[in-house]
Amino acid sequence: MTEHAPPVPVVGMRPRNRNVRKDLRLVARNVAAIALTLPFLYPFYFLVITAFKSNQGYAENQLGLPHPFVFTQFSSAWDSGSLGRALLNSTIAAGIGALVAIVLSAPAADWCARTRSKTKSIVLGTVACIWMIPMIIWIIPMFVELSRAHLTNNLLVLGFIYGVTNTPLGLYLLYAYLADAVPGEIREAAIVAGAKPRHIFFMISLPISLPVLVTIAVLAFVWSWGDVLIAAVLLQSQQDWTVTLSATSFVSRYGVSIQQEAAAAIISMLPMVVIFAIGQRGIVKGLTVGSGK
Amino acid sequence: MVAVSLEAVSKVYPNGFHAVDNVDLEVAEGEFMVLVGPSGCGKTTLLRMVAGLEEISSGTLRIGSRVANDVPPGRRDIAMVFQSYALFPHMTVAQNIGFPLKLRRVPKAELDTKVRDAAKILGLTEWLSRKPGQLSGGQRQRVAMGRAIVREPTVFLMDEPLSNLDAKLRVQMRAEVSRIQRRLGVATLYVTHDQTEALTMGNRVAVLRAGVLQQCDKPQVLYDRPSNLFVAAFIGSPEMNLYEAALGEGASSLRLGSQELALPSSLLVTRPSLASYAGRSVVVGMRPEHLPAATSDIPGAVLKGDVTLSEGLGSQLLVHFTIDAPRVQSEDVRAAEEEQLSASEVASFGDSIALVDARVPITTGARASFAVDAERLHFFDPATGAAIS
Repeated sequence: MTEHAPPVPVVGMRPRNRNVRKDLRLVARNVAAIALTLPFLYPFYFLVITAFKSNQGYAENQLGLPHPFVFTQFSSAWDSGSLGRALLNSTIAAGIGALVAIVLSAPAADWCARTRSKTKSIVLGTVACIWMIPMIIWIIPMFVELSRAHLTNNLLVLGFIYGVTNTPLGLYLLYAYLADAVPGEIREAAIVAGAKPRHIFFMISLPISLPVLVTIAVLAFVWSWGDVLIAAVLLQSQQDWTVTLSATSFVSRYGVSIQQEAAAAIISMLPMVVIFAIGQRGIVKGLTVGSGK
Repeated sequence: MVAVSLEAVSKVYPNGFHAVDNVDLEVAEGEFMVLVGPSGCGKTTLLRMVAGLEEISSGTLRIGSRVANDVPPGRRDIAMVFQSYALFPHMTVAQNIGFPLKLRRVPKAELDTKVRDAAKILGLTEWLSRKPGQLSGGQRQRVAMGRAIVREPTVFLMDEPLSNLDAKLRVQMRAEVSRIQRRLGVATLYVTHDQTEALTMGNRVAVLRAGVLQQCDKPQVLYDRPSNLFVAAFIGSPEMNLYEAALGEGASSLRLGSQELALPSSLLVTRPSLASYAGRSVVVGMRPEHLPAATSDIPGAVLKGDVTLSEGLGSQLLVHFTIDAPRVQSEDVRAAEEEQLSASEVASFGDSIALVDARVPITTGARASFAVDAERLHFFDPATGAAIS
């Protein structure tokens, strides 16, 4: 009996051509991606090079690399803007904001995920409508009411407002996640085992939704950190200013020192860059969980 | 002692749909009761009413000796196993099993002992620190059983717990669930649409159709003496052959199309009501496995048919054949057939089916004879569908 050798795959021009085409496609895709990021990167580039320039260096060359390379703008900005104090204020207000957003949205999302009541769609619809109202519409009446109650210049109140502002986002993110991650049968299994709604919330819903809770906290914190409008309306006393408020007011207070302004902006955004750099994967995961199997 | 009793229990939805209609059922202590029926027959709704996950529209539910209609699920002294297992994904196997005890604030040492005991019974000891996502389907199913066992309830409720497993594992787990239930001696109400599960596992089987209890008895009784056409067509695989026929005078013969079968006088002793149907039309049922190939052509004792197809099953031959008597096409039979056909499409080929010894020579296209044992015939009233006994 003769044995036939198995057919040998023919390596010819075709597969190689295919590889080259694949590589070209990859290069084209990367070039396009980089081109898309340029408009976003340019302000950042400008900010960084400006912060490291001396006053004269900036006057001579606005768009080129710093020459000489100076760090003094940072120390001046830190001292004149009381940025240390401002960073602490921001941390307090944004931290409270993140906490309040979680505390308010988590039980509401859990209720929405478990209830069969028609009230749910009314609640979700109302929250969505309120969420869509531009901040500028409610900020002045709120200021009037708060100043009547002597609650302006108060970081706790500012944090609470940040939290409430971010609650709709938290509610929707968490509701979408819980509806998928804690299906009816899991709740029913817990109910049959003797669990009350509070047990289900604390022992099942909260631990299961930890990645989404972290995402909500981070998003609320970052949003609150970046806010200028609410802080500017509610905080008149300079010692209560948040870091973004301090950083944006260099121009008006000390004439135009664009380099100090840039240095203050970098200081104010550094904590956020660090948070995103560390938690990027977790934040994206938290945003996309529940959107597919 | 009765573990669960349902008295005239009904479930009516706001749109007027009767999901469960006036059901009376008792599950004795230690009994394995299976609720079976086609999809949408109300069996799961009934189970959920016992669990307290659905409100009871009318009637009385007793668990143990107390009326449980308004008792919250957690206080009903029941444990439930769900179709999807419903395990808590963030908890370990041990935490899942111990969950009901933790809610009851059982001391840690006692909780650990009970969890370990349950895990031992279920062969889960080495998986106690794993999370459900790291387990196979069969293991998850056992964890769900474990969570039910640790509660030491009055009754286990199981909602198609094996339907997510593959065929081989399902057979294994079927035996295991039965073994565990017998060992623990806890009354069990088990829902399935699979009649093999129902017949093999249940001490008694309750057949439901459109929310109405059709018959509740031991599996052998359901098979031997179905109370109506629906149960006759639903229980048994391949399903019973049902024909429109006419009883002769004195119920001594049965006309089946152009053929006439002789009926012994002893039949009237075992089924006295048959006498009142003499000279009238009836529905006659023959189970495929009770139609062996005839060895001799004794007139009146064989049924002849034209073979349209024969399928070898190894030990037996599934013979599809046609006779000139009309098949019964009542709504009862169609409802049962729909469910059967989804499981095996045997009935779609020919009008009738016989299960004969594989060594009997049967030729497709030829005429074949099948021996009829009159004592194993089933008779039904054509108007009501009720069995004639």
